[in-house]
Amino acid sequence: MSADILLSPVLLAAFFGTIRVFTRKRWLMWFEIILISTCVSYILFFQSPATFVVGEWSSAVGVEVRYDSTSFWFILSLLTVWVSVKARFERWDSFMDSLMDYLFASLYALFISNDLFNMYVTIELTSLISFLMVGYGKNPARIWAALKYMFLSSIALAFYLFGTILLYSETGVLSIGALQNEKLSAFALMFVVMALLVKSGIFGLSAWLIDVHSMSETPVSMLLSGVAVNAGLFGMVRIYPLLPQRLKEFVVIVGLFSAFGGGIYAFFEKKPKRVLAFSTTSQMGIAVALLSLSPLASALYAFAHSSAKSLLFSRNGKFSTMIGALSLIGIPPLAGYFAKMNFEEAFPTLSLLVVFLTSMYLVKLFKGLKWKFSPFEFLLEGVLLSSCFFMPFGGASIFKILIVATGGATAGFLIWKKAALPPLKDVFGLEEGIAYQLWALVIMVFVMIV
Amino acid sequence: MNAEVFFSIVIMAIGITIVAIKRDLMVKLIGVGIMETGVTLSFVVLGYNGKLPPLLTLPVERVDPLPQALIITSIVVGFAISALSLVFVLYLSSVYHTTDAVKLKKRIKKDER
Repeated sequence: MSADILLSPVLLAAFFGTIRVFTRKRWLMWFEIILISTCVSYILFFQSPATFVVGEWSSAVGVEVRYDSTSFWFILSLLTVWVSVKARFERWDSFMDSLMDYLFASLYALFISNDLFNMYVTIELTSLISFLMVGYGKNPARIWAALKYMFLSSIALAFYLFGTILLYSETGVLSIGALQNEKLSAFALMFVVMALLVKSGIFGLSAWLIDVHSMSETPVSMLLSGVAVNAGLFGMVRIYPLLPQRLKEFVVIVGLFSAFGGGIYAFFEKKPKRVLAFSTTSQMGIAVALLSLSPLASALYAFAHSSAKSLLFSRNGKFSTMIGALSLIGIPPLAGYFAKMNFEEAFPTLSLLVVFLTSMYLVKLFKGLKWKFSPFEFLLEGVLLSSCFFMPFGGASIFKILIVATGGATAGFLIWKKAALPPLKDVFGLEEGIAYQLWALVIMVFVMIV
Repeated sequence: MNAEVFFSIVIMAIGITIVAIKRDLMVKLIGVGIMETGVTLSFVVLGYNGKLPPLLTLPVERVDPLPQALIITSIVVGFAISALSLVFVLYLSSVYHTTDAVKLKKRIKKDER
């Protein structure tokens, strides 16, 4: 595979994003969607995994690019969510349209990068575009959410940079392929891991996520909760094989804590969008915990989560919400089931508890929705369904999952019918955002050093 | 760990402390800037090894130019982000006439209801 084909979607998306600022022609946008999706599908389905250095430099100096099976799932989820959002909200706003193109370009560039500093630049670009998308429209509440996101994100990325330069001063290389042969210090890796955990939406560390995802407009929250949270997770997927054993265990424990904490907070929340935002922290925690099994399992989980979450965030009719909820719980034959099978293999008891919790809080989302069908959501639903054609079914676990999910849904429904529970208090400073989180971060750093 | 890296960690800690303790959004932004300066210092210090500057091609032993090239990129990105956050703070202060984080949070919550 040549570098030109692999890098062409970045250039195409950036080019069309710049063009869209000046013109509002509809045919141009459809031309762009068709061109980019053809190009990316060609890369996804006809190219074999490859690693090369851009510009044919030596790997010590140049930027290494790598396309492999984990990138496949991340890029596939990015493409489906992006195309469905863009096609559905075609007449929305031309400025936001070009921002969506830039978001696609930077996320695509992230999902093929295999270099510590290149990952920093693309993650920073992604967050910069997210700030603009959240704060656009001069709504004070949204701007406040974006500002909180900015503070936490810039501090996390400063940590990331510091870890990167420590690793570089020890080894003299930045590409992750070359770092795998070196002996790395846990002190430097810890800074990188902390930053990526903050970016990947872990409960307790990512205070920004709940406000940003629940306040912003529907297409923005679909894009952010669907694909932009995958940015930090992708960094974790690439970094995880380099970590020493102790840090690996720490990451998995943090992920499991997030899976349960986010679920419990989501159950006590009232507004549907806030429930979904807490649910994102819970699901990203599962994806991080799945890294202990294999990076591919985590990538598959991220794929299933992003399609389902963007369906749920669209809040467009009972049908799409039901498909998204069933996939998120893990009911066969939707994609969530195959992702949950890996989770069950890694943590047999905990996975059933998570299924129970997920179905408990997802019941509340159906209140006030009508039966409605939207043509652009069939793409997401089709992607969720189509994975059953090339994945193996597991035997007995289907019945377990079905029984637990039914029990959870009934319990959630009954509890909400009988008692109106208030939302939980912010023990972790989720609202205050900046102060508590940073202290937690600093204390964790000290604990890790000792 | 050499003394210079320790010094840059101290600067980063000062920046974080300012962001966490102070209530004024402008002061918080300055804290973020101080923290990024600490990171920049660590890049410069770790790239320098007491040799000649990288522009001179005659001597064989030179300072490693890569960290300096990297930190230029991150300074530019940091500038873009701080400019954008200043615009956001400007807008919030023009609506609510304050830059105090706690007051802003209360008034925004009040407006939502």
